[in-house]
Order: sequence, then C-alpha cells, then structure tokens
Amino acid sequence: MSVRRLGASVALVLFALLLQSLGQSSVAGPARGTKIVVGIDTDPPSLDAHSNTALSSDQLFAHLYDRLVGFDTAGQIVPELATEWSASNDGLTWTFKLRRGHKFHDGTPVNAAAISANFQRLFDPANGFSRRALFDMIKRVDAVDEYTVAITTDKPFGAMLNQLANPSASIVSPTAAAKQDINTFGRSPVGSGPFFFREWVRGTRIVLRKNPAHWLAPQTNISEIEFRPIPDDATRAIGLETGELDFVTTISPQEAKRLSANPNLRVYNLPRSRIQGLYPNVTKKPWSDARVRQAMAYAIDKQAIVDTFLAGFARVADSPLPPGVFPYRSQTPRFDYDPERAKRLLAEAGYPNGFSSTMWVPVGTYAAAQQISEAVADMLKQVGINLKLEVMESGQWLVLLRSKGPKESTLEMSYYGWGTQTGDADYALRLVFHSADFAPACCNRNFYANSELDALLDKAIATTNQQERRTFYEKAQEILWRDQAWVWIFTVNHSAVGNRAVTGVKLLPTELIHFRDASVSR
Amino acid sequence: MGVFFARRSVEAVLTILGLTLLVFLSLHLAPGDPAALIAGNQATEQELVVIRQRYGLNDPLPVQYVRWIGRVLRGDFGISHFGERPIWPDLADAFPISISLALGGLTVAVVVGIPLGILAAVRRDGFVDLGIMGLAVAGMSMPVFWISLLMILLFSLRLGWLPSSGWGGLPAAILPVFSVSLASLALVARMTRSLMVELLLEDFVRTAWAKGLPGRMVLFKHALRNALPPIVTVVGLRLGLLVGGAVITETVFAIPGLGRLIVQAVNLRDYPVVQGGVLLIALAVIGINLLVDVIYLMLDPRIRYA
Repeated sequence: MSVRRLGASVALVLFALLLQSLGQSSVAGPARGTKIVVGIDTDPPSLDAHSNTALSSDQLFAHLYDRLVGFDTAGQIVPELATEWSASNDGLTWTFKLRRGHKFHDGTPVNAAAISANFQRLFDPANGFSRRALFDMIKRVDAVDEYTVAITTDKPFGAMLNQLANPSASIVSPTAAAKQDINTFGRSPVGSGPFFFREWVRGTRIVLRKNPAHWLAPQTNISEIEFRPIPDDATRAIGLETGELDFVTTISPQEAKRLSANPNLRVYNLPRSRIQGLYPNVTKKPWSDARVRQAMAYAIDKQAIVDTFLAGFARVADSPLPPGVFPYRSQTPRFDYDPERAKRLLAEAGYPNGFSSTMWVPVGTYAAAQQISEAVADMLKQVGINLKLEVMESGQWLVLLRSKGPKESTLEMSYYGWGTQTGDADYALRLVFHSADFAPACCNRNFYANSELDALLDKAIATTNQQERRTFYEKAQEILWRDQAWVWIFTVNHSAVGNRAVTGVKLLPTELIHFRDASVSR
Repeated sequence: MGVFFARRSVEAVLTILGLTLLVFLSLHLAPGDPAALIAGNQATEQELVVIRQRYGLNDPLPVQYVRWIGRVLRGDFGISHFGERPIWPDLADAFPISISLALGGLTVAVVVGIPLGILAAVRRDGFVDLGIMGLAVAGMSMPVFWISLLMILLFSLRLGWLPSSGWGGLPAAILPVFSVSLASLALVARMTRSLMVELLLEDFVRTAWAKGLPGRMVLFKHALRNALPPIVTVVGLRLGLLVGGAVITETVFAIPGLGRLIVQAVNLRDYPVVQGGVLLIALAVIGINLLVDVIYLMLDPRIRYA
C-alpha cells in the first residue's frame, strides 16, 4: 500500500468514527407537551434505594419508589404505602396498615411480605448497605396478615416514622431485587412509585415514565420526567432561559437571584433542614469557655453573610434546629451583631486582648465556604480574635475531623454544617451533641458534653409520645443555644428555579424536591 | 520497521505499567479516607467498617495493586465505590465521546488553522496577517470556560440556534467541538505561519517560482509539504492532551466524557474509576504517538527508524 493511500484510509476511518459518534440521537427541543426536563447537578451513583447515600439519588427515589410513610412540605408525616399506623403502649411495636391492591411496576403486589423482604434485604450483611445503620433500632419486621406489617424494636424509638420516611427506607420490588444482583439493580430499578424507570444514559439523562396505576396518577398530568445531569451552574441557568429545562433542583443563590427577573421563571426560596456555622473544639482553650463562643456569636454579622454570600437564600440561625425539623423552636437571645458586647464577654472570659486560632475550611463541601470563612475571620478580627484559615481538600478534612477522639483530635475550629434528612431532632441533636457519640464512633466531633442534655436526648428518643418528645427537645434546644455549642450562623434554603408552566412542585424541608403530584400546562 | 514496532511496543507496555503504579500510589497516598467519602460526612464508624470491608480497603497496598492489575488483565475493571456498579460500561460510554470530541476539535483546528496560517504567511505583515495573528493570540489566551459561556449566551440564548448543553447529534456537538478546538486552532495557525514564512524564503521555493509553477503548486506542493511534519507532531500531542483533558468543556456543556468522569471520581476517591480511566487515556496517548510516528514516516522520506 502506498504511503498516500494508507494516510487516506486512516483519515477515512477517523472521519467515519467521528460521524458515527456525532450521529446519535438528537436533542429534544422545547416542544415536548407533558414531558418535563429537570436539570440536576450530578449524575446519581445508583438508583438502588438501599445502597445509596447521595442526595442526587434521593431525588430520584422520591419518584421511583414509595415508602411506608412520607413527608409533606411542612415536614409532617403523611401516608404513602401505609394508610394508618400506631405504636403499641410499650412503644416497642409499630403496626402499619397497607394500601390495598397497589402493585410494583413489575406487577408484584405491594403487601406485608414485600415490606418484610425489603428490610431483610437492607439488613443482610452480605449486601453491605452502609445506610442500614439508620435502621439499627429495628429488631424484626413481620407480616401480620396480607396488609398489616409489624415493626418491633428492642427499645422504644421515638423517631421511627421520620426514619421510615427517609429515602433510604424506600420499598423496592422484592421480585426484581431477587432476580438481579445488587450491582445491576441500581441501573434498572423497580419500585412502586408514581413514575417507573425507563432509561438511563449515564451522564446524559435518566428518563422516568408515569405509572398510571399509582394512586397519585389522577393528580399529575406529567407523562415523563427526564433528569439531566449538568454540572455547571451557569449552563443550568441558561438551560432554563432557553426553555431546554423546565426545572433546576439546585443552583447557586447568585444565579437564582439573577433568574428572578425572568417572567417565565419562578424562583423557590424555601427552608431546608441544613444548618451551617463554626465548629469549635470545646475541649480546648479558649473554646471551652461558653462566654468565648457567645462572644463569637455576637461578633459575627450573620445577616450580612446571608445577604452577601447567599443572596438571601438562607435564614439567620435562631436555634440549633433548622425550621422544618421537628420540633424546631426559635430561641432567645438572638445573638444579634454587637461587637462591643463581644469584646466585653471576651474580657470577662479573660481574653481582653483577644487570641489567635486556626479554622479549617473544606473546599467543595459547603456553598461559598471560603468566602464566608474569610468574612467571618474579618469580623472576628474586629473584636481581637485572629483566625488563620486553613483551606483544605474535603477528603483530608473529613479524615482529620472524624477519625480522632477528644484526646488526639487536632481540631481547633472548622467551618461546618449538618443536614437532617429525617426531619427529626434525634438525628439533628443526639448524633451531634450526645457525649456517647464522640468521634470516631459517630458525629459529635467537637466533643460537646453535657449530662443534662444527654439525659434529655435519651428520654426523648425512648418515648413514642410526640408531645413528650417535643418538651424534651425544646429544653435541649435552649441548653445548646445558650451554650452556643457551635456558633450557628444560618440555615440553608432551597435555591431552585422552575418554569411557571410547571406547578405543584413540592420542596420538602428534608432537602428533597418532589414532582410526584406536579402538573405542567404549556 | 518491524524491529521499530517491537521495541516501541515493549516500551509502551513498560510505560503503561509504570503509569498504573504511579496513579495507584498517588491516589492511595493522598490524604483522605475513601470510606469516609463514600459514606458522607454524617456517617457513623459502623457504616465505615462495612464499606472498608466491602471494597477491600483494609488490605495492604501491594495486595490491592496486584489484585487490581490481575483483574484488569482479565478485562474486569472493577466496581465503582459509589453505587455498586461495574465501571467498564461507564468507561466504555465515556471514552468514544472524548475521542470524538478531541478528533472533532483537532479536525477543525487543522482544516481552519492551516489555511489561515498560510494566508497570514502569504500576506505577511499586512492587515490580514495582523488580524489573523491577533485572533490567534486571543484564542490561545482566552480561558475555555469563559469563551464557552459566551458562545452559549450568543448561539443558544440570543439566537436560539444550538442547544446549550448535552451530547448527541450534530447541533449539540458544534459549540463544544469549537470550544475544544480553539486553542489548538490558534496554535496550528501560528505554527503554520511561522514555518511558511521561513520556507517561502528558501531557495527551492524561489526555484519553483522561477520555473513558472502556478502559485497553488508552489504553496501546497513545495512549501506546505515541508511544513507538515512539525505540525503533525504538535497536533498529535494535542490529541493526547485533549482525550483526557477536555474537562472544562465537558463540564460546561454537560458532556459525559472521560475527563469529567475522572475528575468527578478523583473528588470522590473512587479509585477503580480513576485507575481505569487513566489507563484508557494512557493507552490512547501511546497509541496516538505510535500513529504520529507512522505519519511522520510517510511525510518525510528522510526519516528512518531503526
């Protein structure tokens, strides 16, 4: 073969390759009737409800699957597969009455045996599902009859309903799950939700179709939902403007604010169950003195941070619990910006000339973490506290934060946050502030220890009487707030934007966005 | 030629082995516990224990490395630490996308860049030359994400001609291909110009003019032919760079290519995905380099490999 002919054939092959890859299906235009296109920020790792811990997947689970119970937009528990429930007097057994005649997308009936099989799947150590820890309190799940399920615990567990409403407790089709191994179920999931799985082109789209047999079907006219992962904020925003996207579940507050000028778009600025603040190691001086922590709370202009860096898509924190987490109650004093008072408190605590310390700032974990930390450091400097910021990669930060107990921990202070997807104070407070949950076992990583608080948190989880629980948690909020166990700054809001053609979208305080009973009219 | 290929193949295998070891070590020695990242910052120690066991993260590093290489040789790239799925389908989906993006970008760079370079050389120091070279400098200096967003604003939002993101179909490919090609296009134009400017002053070119050949023949047959080998080298190197390096373009336009896949995986410490992805890129780059050597051979008969 001559050199020239070889060159020509190489070029031809390359060109054919190029054409072939470019010639795949074309992009859907805006004329799509009752189909909606939703922009999400990242492709979910898996659609297997039990294997997953990512928010991006939880978003999909809400549509593919049902749970025994769910949340409404106020964070209240509402029926899904179970229509009634009750706890026994000793608080050890929860009985759920199931909706009759409902079926999974593969035709398997949703009955008590299916629910019980789901919990067996979740608990089976061979499956290695990390989220099973969330359901460790459950001893047994029994089918009492075709449509009655009994869940038994060792000790009364007051947050049972909220944990069962978590996306990780989604109910999958036991037939489909048994047929596939856990490596493939996450790519072709079968649930019983208002939409069934149709197609997943990784990195490009996940398509769900309406399940006409679902009890919510009469309430939605959406025939198809396409979730499109688009990592870049600006590109998602433009997608809304061009009409390529009908909804974007998360977008930077700055973009959301810009889009609010567009008459075709509706900007959603609603509370989420995530709280952000400064996380001081309370076993170390000077953080061990509550007056120092209170002084910091007074020294930070929280409203300015909310307005400047979050464009108003946040709310100044006024309790250790975000609104929307049961049983949130606003606290006093509000620790409004008062640098003079901060200086007095510092002087009382024995630091009239302030002090120096270091604050860890993780990159890529929390929105605008670096800018907010710089602003905070600047505000604290005004009262004499010199913070050196140590910006670190989030993987390294996590290890430093979580792997060491109170003796070895190198934490002085960190920028930090906590989200409560169960919408219940047990997850928001016990895991984070109980002295039995010190790192590395769990999530009390600034080593706050208060026996009065421990007792309240223990009592609150050991009863199923929600009125009693409320009383305990209200007291717990008071103690933590007065003590400023963290220096809480703000609670995060949803910043989502949608086309006005889509109505009835539900933004839950537990961070999820539902199109379960939404509608579209073009 | 046979000996040359045999030697290059052995070199290639050694390079790839060294590379896998390097990637493996740099990932595992970087701070950060993959189990913690998998479980999220709100996980308990108990959840971490389950995860470490599941993915064999407790084993010594040499054991983990050998196990991985052994599996890859049998065609098993392993299971993603996130979402319990085999990673080969992901890599197999992403790889051709990155390759077509890179090839498309380079095709545009060559097809547009070389004529522009020739034009600038012929009209040397005139307005055309200044204009083209000004644009080339701009093309090389403008950040990719910025020019990409500007293009989206103009062609998707203002004019509504092209989709703002996604992959599949020619319309969706136009903006990203141009975004990928821009820097290479500018480079090719500048190189072509400077090579041609020198060549046009050579004796053999003057002879060609003198013997009355038409301008087309002089430019393309005599001058350009001699300018091609260095251009091919640069284009080949760019191709290797682009296969795994179009991360920004892939992110801005939401294209599910290899670069985006790997960057996402690095952030999550999803070892198998990063390792598999880098291995693929390494294979591609080494393959491309081999190809460039062959093309070189065709273009310049003076070069002989032993």
